[in-house]
Amino acid sequence: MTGELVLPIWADVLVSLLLVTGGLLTLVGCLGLWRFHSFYQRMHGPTLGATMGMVFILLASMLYFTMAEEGPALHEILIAVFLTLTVPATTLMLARAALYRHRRAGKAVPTRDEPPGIGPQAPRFTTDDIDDERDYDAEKPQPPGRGPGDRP
Amino acid sequence: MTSLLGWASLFALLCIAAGMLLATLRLLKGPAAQDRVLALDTMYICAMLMLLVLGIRFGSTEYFEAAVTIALLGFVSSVALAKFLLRGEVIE
Repeated sequence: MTGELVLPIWADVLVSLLLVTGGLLTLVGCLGLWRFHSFYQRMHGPTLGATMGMVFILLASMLYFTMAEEGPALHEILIAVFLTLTVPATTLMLARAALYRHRRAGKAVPTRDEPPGIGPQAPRFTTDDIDDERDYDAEKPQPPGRGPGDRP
Repeated sequence: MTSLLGWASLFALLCIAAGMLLATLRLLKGPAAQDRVLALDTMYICAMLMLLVLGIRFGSTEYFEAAVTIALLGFVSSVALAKFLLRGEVIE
C-alpha cells in the first residue's frame, strides 16, 4: 500500500463508507445468487451488485482520484454508462433463454396473460413453481389439478 | 492513505471475494446451464469491482484500464453464451 496520497478527513471517511457499502451490497447480491431457489429468483440477486454496488464503488473511485490528482477524474463514468447499458441486455437475453429452455423441457413458465380456463381461484404461477433444486418425482402424491401445478 | 481507507478497502475486497466464491459455488452446482452463465456474469462484475477497489487501495490508475477491458469482454461473452443457450449457435 503506497502512502503518498493524503486525503482530507471528510473525503477519507466518505470514500471508506462508499467502499464498505458497495462491497456489502455486492456480497448480498451474490448471496442471493447462491440462496434463491429458482432461476427467475436467482436472476434478481446479482443485479444488486451490478447496479448499486457498481455505483457506490465507482463513486468512491471518482472521489478518491479527484482528491488525489488535483482535477476531476471522470473516466469512471465510462464504466458506469457502459454497465448501465449492457447489464440489462445480458439479463434480458438470459431470461429469454431460460424461458425457452424451460418451455422446451415442458415446465410451467410464467406467461404474460392468464391462461384460458383458469379462474381466479386457481393457483397462480409464482416463481416458486420452478424450483430447480427440488426433486419433484420424490414428492409424487400431488393433488390432481389443473393449471401450472401440472408437471410432466 | 490513512488506515481507515486501508481497512475499508480491505473489507470491500473481502466482501467481493466472498461474493465471487458464492458465484463459483453456483457455477459448480448450478442445476441448469443458464445458472452457470448467470454465475459467470456475476463473476465478471465482481472481478471488475475488485479491480476498482484495488486501484483505490494502491492509489494507481492502471487498474482502471483492466476494469474497462473486463467490462467489455464480460458483456460480449455473456451475450454470446446467452445467445448460444437461446438459439444453439452464436452467429447465424
